[in-house]
Amino acid sequence: MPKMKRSAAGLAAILAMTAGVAAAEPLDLVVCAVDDRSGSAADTGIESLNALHMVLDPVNAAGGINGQDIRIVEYDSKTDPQLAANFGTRCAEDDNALLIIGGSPSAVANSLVTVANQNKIPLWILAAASPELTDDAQYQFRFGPKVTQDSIAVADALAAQGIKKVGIINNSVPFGISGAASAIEALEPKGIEITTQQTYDVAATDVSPQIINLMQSEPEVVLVYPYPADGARVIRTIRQMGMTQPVIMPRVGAMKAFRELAADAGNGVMIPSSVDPSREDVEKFFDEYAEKFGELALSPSPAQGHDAGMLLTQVLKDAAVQEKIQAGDLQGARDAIVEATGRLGNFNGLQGQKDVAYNFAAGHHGPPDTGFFVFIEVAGNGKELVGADISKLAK
Amino acid sequence: MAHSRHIEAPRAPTLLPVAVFIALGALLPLLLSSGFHVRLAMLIWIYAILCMGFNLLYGFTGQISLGLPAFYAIGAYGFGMLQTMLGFPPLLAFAGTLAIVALLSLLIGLPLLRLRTHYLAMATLAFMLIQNGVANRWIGFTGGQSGIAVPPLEWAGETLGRTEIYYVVLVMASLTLLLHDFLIRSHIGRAMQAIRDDETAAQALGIRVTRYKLRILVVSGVLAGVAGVCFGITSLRVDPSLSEFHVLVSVLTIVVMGGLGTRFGPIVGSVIVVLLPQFLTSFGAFETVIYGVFILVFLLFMPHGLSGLFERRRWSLRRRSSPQADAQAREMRRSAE
Repeated sequence: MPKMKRSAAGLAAILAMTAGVAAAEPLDLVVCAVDDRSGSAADTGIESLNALHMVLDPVNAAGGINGQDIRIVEYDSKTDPQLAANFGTRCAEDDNALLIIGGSPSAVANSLVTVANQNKIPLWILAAASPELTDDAQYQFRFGPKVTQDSIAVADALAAQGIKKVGIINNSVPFGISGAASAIEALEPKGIEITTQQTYDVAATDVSPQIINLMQSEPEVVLVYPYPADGARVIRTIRQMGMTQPVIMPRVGAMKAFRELAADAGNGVMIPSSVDPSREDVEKFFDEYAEKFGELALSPSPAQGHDAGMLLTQVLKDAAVQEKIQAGDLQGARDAIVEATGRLGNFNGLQGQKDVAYNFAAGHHGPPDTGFFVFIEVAGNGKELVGADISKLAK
Repeated sequence: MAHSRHIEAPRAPTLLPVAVFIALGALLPLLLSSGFHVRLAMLIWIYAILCMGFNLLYGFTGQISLGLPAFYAIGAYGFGMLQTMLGFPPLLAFAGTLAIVALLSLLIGLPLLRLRTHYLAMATLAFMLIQNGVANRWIGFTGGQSGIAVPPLEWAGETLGRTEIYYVVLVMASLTLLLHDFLIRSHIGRAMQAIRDDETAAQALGIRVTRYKLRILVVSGVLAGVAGVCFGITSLRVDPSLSEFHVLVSVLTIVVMGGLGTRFGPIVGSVIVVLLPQFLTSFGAFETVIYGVFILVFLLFMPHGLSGLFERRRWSLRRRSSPQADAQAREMRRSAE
C-alpha cells in the first residue's frame, strides 16, 4: 500500500511538472489585422496592411522577436460591422491573438471596440475618424486622427487667413454627418459663419440641387465631407456650375479613388493631411512602398500601418510584455501590451509634422490635437499630392 | 379527405423535425470548443429568427418587405434604450420593445399593404432608409454612428455568461420556430399560400386578404424585433449598421440558400451565411468571389435552396409511394383538360 501511495505521489509529481512545463510554453506572437480589404474602404485596409508587412517582414527575416516570428492573421471585414465583430471575437478567443490592429471605417472600428472591451484585448485602430472611439478608452488606441482634429486644423487655417464665410456640403453616411457637425463646432467659435450646410445621399448621381444652394449662399470657401466616388461627383458639379471658391476636403481628398474619379476637377482641392510631404523620411518610405506595391500618392493609411508596425515591434520587445509571453499568460500579455502602448506610445512616426509625437498616454490614446496636420493639395489631374499654399484660401 | 392531404403543398404532418432542430440546438454548446463558436451559434439562431419572419411574409404570403432590418434595429435599440433611459427591467423592456415594434408594423402596414410587388418592396425599403437615417443623425437620442450600449443580462446579481445567453437566444428561436411551424401547417398557412399564389382568387374563396397580410406583416416585424433583442443581449451594443444594406443582403442570401417558402430554409440558410465567411477567410482576396460564385450556384441549380431540395424530394417520394394520390392527381388533370 505505501508503495502504491509512493507511486501515485510520483505520478502526480510528474503530471504536475508536465503541466507546469505546458503552462510555461511561450505564447505565439499572433496579431490580427481586421480591416476592409474589399468594399468602399478597401484602399485604406490594403495600404495599411501592406505597410504593416513592410515593417514586420524584415523583423521576422532577422529572426523575429526573441526567436519568435510575428504572425499576422488577416481578416477582411468588408465594411460590415457584424462581420468585423465576428472576426474580432475569433481573434480574441480562437486565434489567441495578443492584439487586434484595424478598423478603418468608424462603424467597423466601433464594433471592434465592443469586442476589445468584452474580451479585454488591445485594439489599435487605424484610419477610423469617429471621435467617440477613444472616449474613456481602456483597451483601444488610435493612429488616425479624430475627425474633430481635422476640423480644428481647418478652422485654425481658415481663421488665420481671415475667412469669414464657409459653406459645407456632406454626404449622408456617418463620416459625412459627423465631419460636418465637427466642422460647425470648430468654425463657429472662431466667428466663421456657416452660410449653408447641404446634405446629399451618398449614392445620389445628381448633386446639383445642393450645389445650387451652396452657390447661392456665396461662401468664401467650400468644405466637403464625402466618400471618394460621391466626392468626385461633388467637385465635378462644383466646377461645372462655375464655382471657383477654394475647396477643402478632409481625408477623402487624398484617396486614390477620389483623385482618379475627379481627374482635372480635383486639381487644387486642399486636404488637411496627417502626412507631411516635406519630410524626408516620409518621402523615403513612400518610395519604398512604390517599389514593392506600385505607385501611390501620399496618403495616411500606409503611414498608419507603418507606425502601427513600428510600435508593435517595440511593444513586443518590452520586458514586461515578454515576461508574460514567455510565461504563456495570454491575458497578462494583453494587459502588459495595453500598459506598454501607453508607456512607449509617445513616439515620432510617419504621421504628423516633424518632431510631433503621438500621445498614447492614459486619457488620450491617439494623435495630439495640434501640430499634427499640414495642408496638401491635389495636382496633376489627380496623379499627385503636393504641399499646399493656404494663403490661396484668402484669395 | 385523407386522400386530398397527400396532394397538397409539401407540409410535414409531424413536429419531429422541429424537435430535432431544437434538441440539436440544446446540445450544441456541449459540442463546441470555444466561446467564439458559441457566439457563431447564437448568430445563426438570431438570423434564423429574423428570416423566419421574412419567410412567413415573403415565402408564404408573397409580400416582399425590404424594411425588415429596420424592425430588427428598432428591436435592439428599443431593448437597450428602455433599460438605459427609462430604467425598465429586462423583461419589461423586452415586452415594451415588442409592443413598440408591433405598433410600428401596424402603422406602416396599414397604408403600405395597398401596394403590391416591387412597389411594396420600394416603400418598405424607404422605411428602412428613414430608420437608418434617424439612427445615424439623431445623435443625442440614438448615439449616432457609435450607437448605444445594451446592458448585459443578469441573473441573481450575476452577469450571464455566453453559454447562458446562448440558451436565452435558443429559447427565443425555439418559440419562433414553433410559431413558424404552427402558422404554415395550420389553416392560416394555407390562407397565406393562397394569397401568395393569387390574391384575387383567395379573396373569392372568402379569405380576408388585407387582414391576413397585415397580421403577417406585424408578426414578421415582431419576429425581427425579437431577433434585434437577441442581437442586443449577444453583442451588448447596437448601432445603425443593424439596418444597413448588408443585413438586407444577408437576409436575402439566407432565403436563397436555405429555401424561400420552406419549413427549415431560414435555419439552414443562416447556418451557411454565418459560417461560410469564417471558412472562406483562408482564400484571402478570392473570398468574396468564391462567396458570390456559391450564391450563383445555388440560384442556378437549387432555386428552392437546400431545405427546398430535401422537402420537395421527400414530398415527391411520398407522392410516388401513394397510388391513391397519383390516381387523384390524374383525375384532377383529366377534369382540368
